[in-house]
Amino acid sequence: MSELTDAALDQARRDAGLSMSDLFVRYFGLGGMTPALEMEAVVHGALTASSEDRDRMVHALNERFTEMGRNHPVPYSEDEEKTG
Amino acid sequence: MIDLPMTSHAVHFSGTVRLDGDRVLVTLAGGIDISTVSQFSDLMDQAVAFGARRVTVDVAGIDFLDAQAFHILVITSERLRMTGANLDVRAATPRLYRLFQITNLVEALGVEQPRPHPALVGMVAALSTIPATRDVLDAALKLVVTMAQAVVSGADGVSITLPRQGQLGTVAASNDVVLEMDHDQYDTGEGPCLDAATVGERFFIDELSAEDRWPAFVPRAQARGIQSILSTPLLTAGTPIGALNVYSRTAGAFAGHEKEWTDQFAAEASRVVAAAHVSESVPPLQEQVNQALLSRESIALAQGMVMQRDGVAADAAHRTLRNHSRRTGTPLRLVAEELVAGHRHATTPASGGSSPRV
Repeated sequence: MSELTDAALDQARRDAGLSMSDLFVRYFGLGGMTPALEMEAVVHGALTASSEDRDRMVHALNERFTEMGRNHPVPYSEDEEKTG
Repeated sequence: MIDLPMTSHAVHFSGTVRLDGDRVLVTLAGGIDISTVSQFSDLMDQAVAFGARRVTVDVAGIDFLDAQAFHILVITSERLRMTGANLDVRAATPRLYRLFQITNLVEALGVEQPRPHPALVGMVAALSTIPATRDVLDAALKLVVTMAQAVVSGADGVSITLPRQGQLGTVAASNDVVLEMDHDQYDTGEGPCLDAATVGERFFIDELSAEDRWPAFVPRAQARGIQSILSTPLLTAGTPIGALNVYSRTAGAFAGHEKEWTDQFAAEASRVVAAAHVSESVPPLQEQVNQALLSRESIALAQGMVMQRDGVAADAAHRTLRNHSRRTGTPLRLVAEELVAGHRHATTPASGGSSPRV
């Protein structure tokens, strides 16, 4: 049902120029509670996170994209619910 | 034009051996390579034949030594040691000393550390006590630049290039012309300073009018009246981290010992950067983690305020904040900090955080 597969999450991470640990530090800074290894598994699509937790990862990516002048290109769970 | 040591075919070499008190003093000048190494070998044999307990090799006049020359020094040192005598090497230029360091022979051959230029005496001690903040680091580098300009003859400007926010930038410059010259290189994406900082080797332009590397940068430099440029890499643990650049309005200004002096200032600047423990590319992990912890704290506080105000659960409160961050393009941390600071009463999303207004 989800348009954004988790492989796309990893692709977004690479587009954003973030290493896995860069992303983790950002996600953690936004209040993320998932440990680094599990977050990495989620980003790779090996684990499924709650939509809330996943949205925090998405937001960490989008804040990076905003710094790069792009407007939140990675969709949040509620976007997918609307379009899906 | 590439700066190579002594490319002429006829290598000049001369040396003397004499007794100086209770030791033998060997004074060398010129270069030692395949064409002169046997002369050098004979000299060292003569020195050993004196039977003195100490042989000192003065290399102040040496331009370069090849691998065989190092080998002969080592062999002579071993021969002397077997008879209870010692060999030491003195007055190496900073560049030659670096060769002894690279070949790991400083200790074995008792190579005396190069004496710092008089202008540097006291500076090392003064700088080693500085705290590791960016401001003080910049001030120290500015001092290096100022001293280099005063000491290196022919220098009309000196600057230091280091990466800042992931890009090379000028962190210290002795005047505006130099600063503009550096910017010409960042703009055109080429130049001796950029190459020195990335390749880790010295780049030298003796005369800009005869230079064909960097075709975009060179005309700009000429337009600023610059004739010669000397860019020396800054290295920490052998890795290039930046460059010290010396510019002159005179062609051929750095043909003499200026390169060695500049090496000393570059080494000084490298030490300052290394001692400050300030990573110039990425903030250290500890700093990133500290920032992340502060960010979490602000967000947790703001989240609590929204929970109380809107009567919602933690996740919903987080979503409210996040949606506001998304709509306004403001980092979540700032949204949280502003809310906590009480500056956003009018604009924060009111109740009903679960219905985002996009």
